[in-house]
Amino acid sequence: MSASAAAVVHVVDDDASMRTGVARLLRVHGYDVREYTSAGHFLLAPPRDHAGCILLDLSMPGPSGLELQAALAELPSSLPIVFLTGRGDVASSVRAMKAGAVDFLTKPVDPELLLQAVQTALARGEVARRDGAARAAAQRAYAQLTERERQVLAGVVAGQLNKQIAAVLGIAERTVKMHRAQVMQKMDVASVADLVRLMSTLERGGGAR
Amino acid sequence: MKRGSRGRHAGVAWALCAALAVSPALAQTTPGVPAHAVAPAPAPAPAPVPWHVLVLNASDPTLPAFIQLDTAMRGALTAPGRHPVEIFTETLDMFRFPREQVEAQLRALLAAKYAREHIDVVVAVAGPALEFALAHRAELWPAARIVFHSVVPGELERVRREPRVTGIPVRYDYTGAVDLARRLDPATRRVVVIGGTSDYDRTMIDEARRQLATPPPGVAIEYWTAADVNQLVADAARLGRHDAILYTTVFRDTTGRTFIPREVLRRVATASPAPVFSVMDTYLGAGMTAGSVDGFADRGRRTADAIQMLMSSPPGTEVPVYGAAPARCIADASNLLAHRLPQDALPDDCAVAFEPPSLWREYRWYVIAALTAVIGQALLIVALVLQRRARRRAEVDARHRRAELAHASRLALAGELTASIAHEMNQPLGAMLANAGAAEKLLEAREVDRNELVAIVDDIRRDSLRARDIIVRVRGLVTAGEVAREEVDLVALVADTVRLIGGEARRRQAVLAWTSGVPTLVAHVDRIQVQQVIVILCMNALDAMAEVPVSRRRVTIDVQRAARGGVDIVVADQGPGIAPDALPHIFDSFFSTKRQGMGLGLSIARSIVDAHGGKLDATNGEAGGARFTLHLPPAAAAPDAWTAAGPR
Repeated sequence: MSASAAAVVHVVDDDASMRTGVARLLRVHGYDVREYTSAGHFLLAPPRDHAGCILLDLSMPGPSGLELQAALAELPSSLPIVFLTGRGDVASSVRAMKAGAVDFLTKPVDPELLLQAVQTALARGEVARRDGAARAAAQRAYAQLTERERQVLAGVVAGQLNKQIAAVLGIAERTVKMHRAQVMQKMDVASVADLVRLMSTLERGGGAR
Repeated sequence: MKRGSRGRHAGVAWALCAALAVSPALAQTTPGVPAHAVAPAPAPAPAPVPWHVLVLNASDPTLPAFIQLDTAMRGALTAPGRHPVEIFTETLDMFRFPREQVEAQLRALLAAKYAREHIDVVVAVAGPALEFALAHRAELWPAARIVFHSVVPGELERVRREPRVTGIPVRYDYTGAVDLARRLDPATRRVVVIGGTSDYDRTMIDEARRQLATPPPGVAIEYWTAADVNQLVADAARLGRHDAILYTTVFRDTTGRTFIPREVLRRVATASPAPVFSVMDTYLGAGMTAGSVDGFADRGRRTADAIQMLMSSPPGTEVPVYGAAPARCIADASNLLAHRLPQDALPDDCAVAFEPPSLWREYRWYVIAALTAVIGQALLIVALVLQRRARRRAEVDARHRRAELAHASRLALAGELTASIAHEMNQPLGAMLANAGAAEKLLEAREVDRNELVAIVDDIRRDSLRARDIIVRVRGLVTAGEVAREEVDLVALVADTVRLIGGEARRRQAVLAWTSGVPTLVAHVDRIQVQQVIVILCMNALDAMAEVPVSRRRVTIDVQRAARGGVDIVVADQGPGIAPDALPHIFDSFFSTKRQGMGLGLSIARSIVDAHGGKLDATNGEAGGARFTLHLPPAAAAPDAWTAAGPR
């Protein structure tokens, strides 16, 4: 039931009693909760580095829940979103789910379902956050490589032999071996297989080029 | 001068005579008409020789009774198609002049008069005339048949032995007259028989004595004949109201003066408090109250009939003497009234004369006209009342129908609002569920946070009230029950209405705002129906802005005191406005510019406003968008309440 103490649930709802009620429910279940009366307020103070999720009301004055979702998707570290709505119309829910929402709940929502949805969202957020941390470390390591080392790395990940890499780069095979050891050390991997996995993470994250 | 004038007149007369004498000749010799062209006239049948009828009256033929009788007889004899008759009249006047005194001379006179005249029928009037005719027929009128009338049965003995005689005897019904008197006044104890001293008078009295020889029990009969007329009148004046007079005839009194019986009766009746009864119908109108009479006119017609019978029978045929006509009852209504005798005590077949003139008889056409007018008016009134009732019923029906229509429209509005209402309800319900879940979790803890629990319960209560308010608002909208005028704060009503449809506005991403220059504005209206109008206007405004960019979707409601008194509620939107060609029709039923509109909303809105004596106008705002102004009159000016109730 309980989640990591660091996780924050962001409740965005213009309806005061609904927002208060949901916030209270989450707090007594041990969550750290922050409340926002509109999508605008949330955008003004977006959370950083924290684990957490967003409980978002679909229809609010000003930017709607879906618009906030779209805006948040632009940010590098996005939190998983659980939608809460007074009217479950199919078009909106499809849009929300396609855009990556964790769940689409209709008011009045069963507290159990709400807690489950929050937990799921936080778990997914944790995974994403962890992935993000690994990717960031890889990026940092990658950034320390010299130009030659990156060229060697590319050859290794492409499955080329040292001899082939030396031929392509026009350098000695021994020099390639040296660069290769340097890369393994800098990227903090023990095997070529690990190196390839790390690189694929980097490429998925889009920070490799 | 005088002589000349007479001569000229004589000359004119002669000229006229000459012209008359010559004219047939002139006609026959008219030039240019050939004599042979005139069809020979058929030989006229020889005119029947008229029957010569001699009326021989023993009395005075100018007596009212005989005039009546004679007129009826002549009328019957000379009716069209009857054999022509020529009537001679002779008067014996033996009632006043004794027979022995005049008979010889009368016979000689008549012999001289009728020596060359053929008489077919002698009508002998009254006993003495019959005696005279029988005695002298052979000498005076040897070929004549004799028809008598007005002869009492006692005088008929000789007739039975004579040939060629018939006639109508008269039977004066004294018994019947006395019966009538007692019938009209059962208290009658004395009947006074008044008569005269002439032969005929005596005959009448004798007949009365004979008929009344045994008077009805308890009734005394007195005969007053030995008095002069003045004494008679004076005596009659002393009679009591319960006495009765039976009047016969008075041709002559003890002084020897002769009278017309009818005139004597008039004096007696005028003087006496006792009612007069008699046996002759000519006394009607002369003071007789009632009588059992043998009518003279009837007798005259029967005499004519007897003459016809006699003359049409072959010679030698005898026609038996007729029976006396049955007496009939006649009465004088005005005399009955004067003597306070009950008219309904008369026999049913009694002919009542001189009924007091009734309105009907006197003013028949006025009465008919008045009655027609009254009946016509009554019918008109009934028709108007019925029409009014029918119209009222129709009005009530129409009102019911309008109320039902308004209710149906509200249900439709509620249907449109369902989604937003559900959303509105879901907010407090969701909050309550969340709070309940939180409370549950708190209660699991070893140490219960009381303050937090109190806050939760407070929130749950607040949300319940909020949910209740939503339901109350919606229920007001969909109610079909009684609608009634009351003092309503229109500012509060607008605020409430905005709350009701605020959710719908949010759903459509529109702003719904209201303003008012005053804190309260009270009007005497039907709360639900006025709210319905505002909802209709707002929903129309939201519909109108469906294609407008979200940022411009704004509906404003402004409540103001109207300059002309009353309240103005203005609903304005930022939509495209109303097309100029649609503007005159937007309040018509089934007129809609919306693809799914029924076209009833504005029509119902206007009928509601009209029923409130208000006004609903549509214009286009200066800055674009439609602008509806709902004007409601001041409380006192509100007309006839729209009180209809829907089904209960």
